[in-house]
Amino acid sequence: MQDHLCELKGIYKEYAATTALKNVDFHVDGKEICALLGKNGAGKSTLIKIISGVISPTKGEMYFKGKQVKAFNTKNAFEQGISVLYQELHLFPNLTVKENMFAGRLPMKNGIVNYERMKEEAQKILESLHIKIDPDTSAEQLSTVEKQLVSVATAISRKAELFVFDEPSSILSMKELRVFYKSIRKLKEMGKGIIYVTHSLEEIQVIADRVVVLRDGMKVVDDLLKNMKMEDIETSITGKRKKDKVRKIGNAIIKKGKLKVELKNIWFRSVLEDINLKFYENMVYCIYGLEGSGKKILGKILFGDLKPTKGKIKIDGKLIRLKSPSDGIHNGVGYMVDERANEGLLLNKSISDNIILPCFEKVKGKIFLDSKKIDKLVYKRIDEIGIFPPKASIMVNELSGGNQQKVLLGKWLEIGFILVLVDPTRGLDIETNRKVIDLIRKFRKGRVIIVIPSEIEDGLAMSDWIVILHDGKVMKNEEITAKTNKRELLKLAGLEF
Amino acid sequence: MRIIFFKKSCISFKVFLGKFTKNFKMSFREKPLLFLSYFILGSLFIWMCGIPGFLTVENLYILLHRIVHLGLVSIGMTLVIITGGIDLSVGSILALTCSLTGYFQHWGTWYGYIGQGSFIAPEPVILLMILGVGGLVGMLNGFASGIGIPDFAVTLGTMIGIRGAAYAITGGMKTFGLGPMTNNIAKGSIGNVPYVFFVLVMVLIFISVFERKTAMGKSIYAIGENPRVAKLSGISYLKTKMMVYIISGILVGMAGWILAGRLDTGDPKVGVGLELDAIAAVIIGGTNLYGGFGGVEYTIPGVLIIVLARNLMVLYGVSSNVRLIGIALLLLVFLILQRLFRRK
Repeated sequence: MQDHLCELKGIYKEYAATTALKNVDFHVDGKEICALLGKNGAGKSTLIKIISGVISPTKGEMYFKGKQVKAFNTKNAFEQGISVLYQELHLFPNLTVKENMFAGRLPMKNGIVNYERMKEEAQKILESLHIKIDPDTSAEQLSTVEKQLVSVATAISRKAELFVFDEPSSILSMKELRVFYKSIRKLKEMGKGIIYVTHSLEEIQVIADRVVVLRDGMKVVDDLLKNMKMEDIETSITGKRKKDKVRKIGNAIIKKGKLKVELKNIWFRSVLEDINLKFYENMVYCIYGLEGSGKKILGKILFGDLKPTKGKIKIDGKLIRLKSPSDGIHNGVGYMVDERANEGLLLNKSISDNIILPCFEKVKGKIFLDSKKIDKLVYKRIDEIGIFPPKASIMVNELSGGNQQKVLLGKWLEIGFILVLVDPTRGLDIETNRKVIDLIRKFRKGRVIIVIPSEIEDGLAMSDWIVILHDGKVMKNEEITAKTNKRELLKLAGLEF
Repeated sequence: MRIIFFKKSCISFKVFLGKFTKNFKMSFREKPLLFLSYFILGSLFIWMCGIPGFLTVENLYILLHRIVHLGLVSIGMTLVIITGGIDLSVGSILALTCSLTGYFQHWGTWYGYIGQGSFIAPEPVILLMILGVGGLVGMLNGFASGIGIPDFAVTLGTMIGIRGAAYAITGGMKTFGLGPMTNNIAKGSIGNVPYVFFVLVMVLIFISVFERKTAMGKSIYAIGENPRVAKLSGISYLKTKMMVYIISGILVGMAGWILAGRLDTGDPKVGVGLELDAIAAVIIGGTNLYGGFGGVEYTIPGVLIIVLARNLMVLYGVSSNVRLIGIALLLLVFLILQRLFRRK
């Protein structure tokens, strides 16, 4: 027991209906980066919540620095030196970096805050992590990765021993990740223990020492990375033998249809410059660019959420003006947002209510909504997309992330013949990711699907055509073939290697 | 043959009973707040039956009128609150419509014919005009909040302004003596049940169908829960907001007209603090003050509880100076209970 920094033994966690964890043993040492993998709902977040004291286990023991943890609460865990860095970061935007780091325990001198000492100490910690941030900048000016790093520095100044990172990669870009990894390695050298939750197999190759995989609440793999093959890890996550890889690039069985949407000389303030694009039916288009390239704004313009400064949009050869999202919807444009919880779904409403939200017209009787029509439509979608559990009256917030994503997709299928999907695979595990890609391939018939992914791999896997945007200009506009070179595309998008 | 029939009926009765208890359990698990308010209402009623003076015809008749008065206002308020708004102007709209009802029936006051009725239009048309005035103020509220001004600020403005208009138009004076139709409808009754009670029931049925069976009803909930999601689903914020405020205004107009008829007076001083009673009724019912959850079926027990609680204090001889504290305590108890009962 003395060997491990943190150890959990025989942990069970039972909720009213389900058992989230079954007899899980887990440990982390100092000077170790332990990657925690698993599907959505495999029990990763439950395990982390137990470690950080948010919830207490039904059965089982936890030891931290050799001492048994009796009371599971966040304050206790925090004081003992367990620090969890969630995706949403809690910095005070109006305070400076140094004030954020010492919030709640400002160094005092004669009853007045001692800013010099505070700055000195902040500087020392930031330097030890090789973070190049001025402690006097205010927190709202920081980029996402800098915010993450400041949180790490804060935790160090509070003498944290164990760091838990909850899917940091899903909110950081590739460039930012590299900076982030550097600091994490530094952290490891300092002798801290690190638990790194992630979906990405590529990521663990770069960073992890040891891999723990959870599946259906049980630990299925716990081994050093160097002893393992990537394929084995993947198999153990999904629990299935891997079949064929994702769709082979370029297999267009459905033929390119007629011209559906045409963008002519679209300008948007200084973000988009003279965009000319044509979209044909039965095709999946991928619009890729780095953050700030204007790809999301282009999507919003198509939907009517933003008005272009200049330019024309033609749908089915007719010139149309999109002034608001409802105009977009009337013209058959569906827009699947990436912010599922904030902008996509009504979490406290049922699946049925969410699916019929944009298409009341379709389920209307003479005056009232026709409940038979609603049921028919909703169950059609549930079957088609494979939402689980297949029950229309279930609240969306009771569904897993993957199923919520499916509801979000299902919402637009009835009226959307031009679907704009922003990051449709965000935060999904490998298996659900594939399912969503399959669905998108399936639904392209008779539709134009425009995907705006955050990772180019996802985009290439599901699309027939790629458009690369860089600084608001189209850099490339061509069909995806077997020859398409990912590296070249990324270079065009402005990524430096 | 008979035995088989008996057995069959026994079984069907059991099934019926089983369904009933199952539904009952379901409703408690799924709608604990609704259950809570009906439970408290029931116990309050049983308690009050034991107090002498409660179960008299006069008392119940007055209570029914009170229920209609607060009920009409609270139904509109419920819709507004479901969209995440709040309507502070209901008391003032009541005052305006009540005083205008009198004023429109004594139009001659302008020309010096004081003391005798002189109608601006036939009485049914006056009723429509009054409802129109309520709807117009509601439209103003709805438009301003629909373009993004906070509901609280907008309706605070109309609350002050419309009360001011009521005073300005009437010169702060009451108008006595209203027309026969107004009087008859507001005061008349079938047996001991006032006509206006049936008006309330009709409004109730109409609104509860509206809120769950129409596209607009669904939009109201969607906007209350998350306006951004609603907008991105093609729902017009402005239209929906205007709709709920107009409905609220019309219902308050109706309450104002009825009040004028019942008092036989057009009075610009009525309805002070009415918005607070209506909001309290909505909250006690369990409708979420932040929007997105609730409904008129929640508000009705809320209205009944407030009316009964006030009556309880009257029957026990609590001074009118102290009654507000009683309502406040009631509200507090309910908020705490709702916190405990809320589904996790």
